[in-house]
Amino acid sequence: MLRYIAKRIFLMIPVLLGISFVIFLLMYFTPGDPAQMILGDLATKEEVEALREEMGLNDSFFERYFRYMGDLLKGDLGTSYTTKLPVWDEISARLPVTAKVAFFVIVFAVLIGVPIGILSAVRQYTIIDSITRVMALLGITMPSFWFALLLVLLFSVKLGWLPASGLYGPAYYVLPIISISAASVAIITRTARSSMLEVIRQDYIDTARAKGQKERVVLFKHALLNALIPILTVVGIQFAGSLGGAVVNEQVFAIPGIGKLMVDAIKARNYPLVTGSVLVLSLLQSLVNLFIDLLYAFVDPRIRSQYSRSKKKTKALNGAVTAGAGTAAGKGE
Amino acid sequence: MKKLLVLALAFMMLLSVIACSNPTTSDPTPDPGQTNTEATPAPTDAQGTEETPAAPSAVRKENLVVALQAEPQTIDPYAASHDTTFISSEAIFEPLFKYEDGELTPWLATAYEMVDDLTLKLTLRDDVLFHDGNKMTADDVVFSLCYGATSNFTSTLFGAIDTENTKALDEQTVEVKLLYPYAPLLEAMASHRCAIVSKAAYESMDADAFGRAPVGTGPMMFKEWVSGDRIELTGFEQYWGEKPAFDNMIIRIILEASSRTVELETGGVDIAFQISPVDWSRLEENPDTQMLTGNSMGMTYLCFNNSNELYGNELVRKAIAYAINVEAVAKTAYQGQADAADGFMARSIPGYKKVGPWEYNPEKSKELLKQAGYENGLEVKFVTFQQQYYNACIEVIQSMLKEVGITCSIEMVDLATFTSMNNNGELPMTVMANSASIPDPASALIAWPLSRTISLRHNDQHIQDLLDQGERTYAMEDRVKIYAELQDYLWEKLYLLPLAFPITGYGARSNIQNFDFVPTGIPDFAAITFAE
Repeated sequence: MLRYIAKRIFLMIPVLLGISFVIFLLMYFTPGDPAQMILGDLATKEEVEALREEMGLNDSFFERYFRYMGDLLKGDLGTSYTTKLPVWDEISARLPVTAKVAFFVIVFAVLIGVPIGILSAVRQYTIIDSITRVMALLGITMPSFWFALLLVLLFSVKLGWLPASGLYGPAYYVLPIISISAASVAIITRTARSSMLEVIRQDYIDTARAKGQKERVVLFKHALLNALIPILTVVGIQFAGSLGGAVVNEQVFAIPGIGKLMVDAIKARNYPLVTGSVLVLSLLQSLVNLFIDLLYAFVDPRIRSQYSRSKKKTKALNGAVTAGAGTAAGKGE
Repeated sequence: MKKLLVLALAFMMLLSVIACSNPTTSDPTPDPGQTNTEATPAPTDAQGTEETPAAPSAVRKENLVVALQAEPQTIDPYAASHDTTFISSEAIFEPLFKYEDGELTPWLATAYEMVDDLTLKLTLRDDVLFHDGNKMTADDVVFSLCYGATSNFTSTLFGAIDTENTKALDEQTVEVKLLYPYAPLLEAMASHRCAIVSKAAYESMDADAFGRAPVGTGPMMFKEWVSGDRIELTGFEQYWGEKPAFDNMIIRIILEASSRTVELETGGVDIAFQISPVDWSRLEENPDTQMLTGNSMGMTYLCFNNSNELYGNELVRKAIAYAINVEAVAKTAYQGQADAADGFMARSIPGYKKVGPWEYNPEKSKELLKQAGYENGLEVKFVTFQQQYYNACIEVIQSMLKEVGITCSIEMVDLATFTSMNNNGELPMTVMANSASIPDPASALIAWPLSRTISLRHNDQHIQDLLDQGERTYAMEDRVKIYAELQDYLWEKLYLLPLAFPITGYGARSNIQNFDFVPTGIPDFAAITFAE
């Protein structure tokens, strides 16, 4: 298992290198001059040119890219063009906020989505199932910023129960979590429902019932564990998505998150901040994917045994190679 | 199934209706920890606002919370040109003079003497401390003025200062030397763009670090900057003047306009900037909030790229202008929150001359097009970026030009691309705006000097000559004549078409007093008092 993890982490390096190159290339060919953006419309050509020179923007693409990568290897993500702060400082100030919100969103989505999905599957074609499916459809199709504004108008302006924006205490998290998680709840509900439906139609479920197992045991021990793999996949995708994809909701609720930071950086042609943010988010996404893959092994003994088998196979193969080499060496002697 | 779908849709409609119904009857929960108040007698100089004419007793507040529309890049007023920086730094720094009731009033400088056309002698207060505990001296003032003169962002205001020969005569006296006579000097020294910074603090950190943790002499001192969220200022105990009626000032960054309005309505913030015009009436009708509005020092205009062969033709420019109903553009695009522009600078600027609005005459437009050789029609292109008012102006103009046979296409690009195209002279025609930094014609006409005519790209030396004359003449009555001649000339040439004088404003809670609209958009926070 450890070998598998190490291999996956090692494979992230070329992925991140590729991402950094593509982002650098895209930003290089995107029209717009960071120096002009900083100085504004009324700056003279000389002032803009002097700043371009100072920022190293007149250097060729490869000079800039390799300089950036050289700094990156030393752990330096560069300096933001606009605030002049180290990029890592900018990202590390925003990332915990985004991660915290994303975590609560996914926990909320799982706590609501999975039980409703199971209930809907178990009570297929009943009124509960119908309501669930319609609400899930609404959750997916409803624009989240519109839902967010409605929630604010109702719970903050009209009823005065909850604060409208900012994150200064537990009450402040309620509306952002509900609005951001609406789509995730819907997707997880639908996935849990369809996955459970597929499993509870299997013969072994009938066998378990025939053996007199309690329905609770049949559902949660025999059915749910086997239905978890697709649900885990969707949860992973949703979590990774909410790390960088809640830009509009961050704006509505004045959440100082990384999504908005990245969008502003793109608008300002703040190349180091864009590249740094994308790299950090890509790394996180890769780690989330790895974590989900490991969870598969945790919930499904068949996958766990595959890891073990591959380990045994590798051991056997290594043994054979060593023996072969020994023989060859012996023959050589 | 159909019934369920109907039920679900009905539920969503009900939610929408409840959420969008009139909120004025609400009982919003105040933001926790913001309003611990302690009654104090009203200051003798407190002025009641229009809503509360009877001078009520003022209270102290723990926090004054202000909502900004964007995060400033820096709080160093010499290192930026955005309002967000100036609003954030207003209470931290102080200028040498202030304008009170239209009169130049001593502030950090107690007196001045214009020794000759190139020499200004300033006498400074001797009881002013910086937030780092150092005493303000003439060296700090010399340093600050020279910083302003050499900064890319403020050289338009302080560039006339001779940085090599400006010096401290003693601890309390500064001799400011000028490279050429410069009439707006005192006006610039009395604006929010003039900030006396601590030389010692600035030199002990680099310029960028100073912009993140500035040291000034104002009533509020920098405390904390939480990136993307808020900037916190706290009261400066050793402030030389009258202390504000609040202990802390929290500047929250709320990007979404509707969220700023909601926070104001619910009491989450005390003051909110950049309120969308669609929300103005709602805030005016709400007894808990007020709108402070007025004409800004800005002007929106139709910008021709005069280096372009087509727009370099005066006949074409005027043909386009005659096809545009300026009154209708201003009224429609700004939803009633703008006046039709009838001059080249805002009416509050000394030296403003009414020369328009340009006549709406489609027949004359067609005639000029014919004279210019475009009797069979003309195809033109607007390039713009995502800006509500500019886009609205362009759409209205597009339909008006169609009436005289001018077909318009609109290309929408992002701001960075637009700025780049502008810098490279690739913009054909667009709508843009500029605003004076200080109430002086030299500042209001900043788009016109040959060295800065990036968008208009005119090559008219006569304009530069008149601008130089106006800037270098001290007698105001003479300046007015020079600028009047310049505005007549600009009207004759029509290198741009003035469209609108926007009305801007900010919202505040009703209990905020002594807080008036100022055309610069940078109000005096320290003067604020609170009603019970």
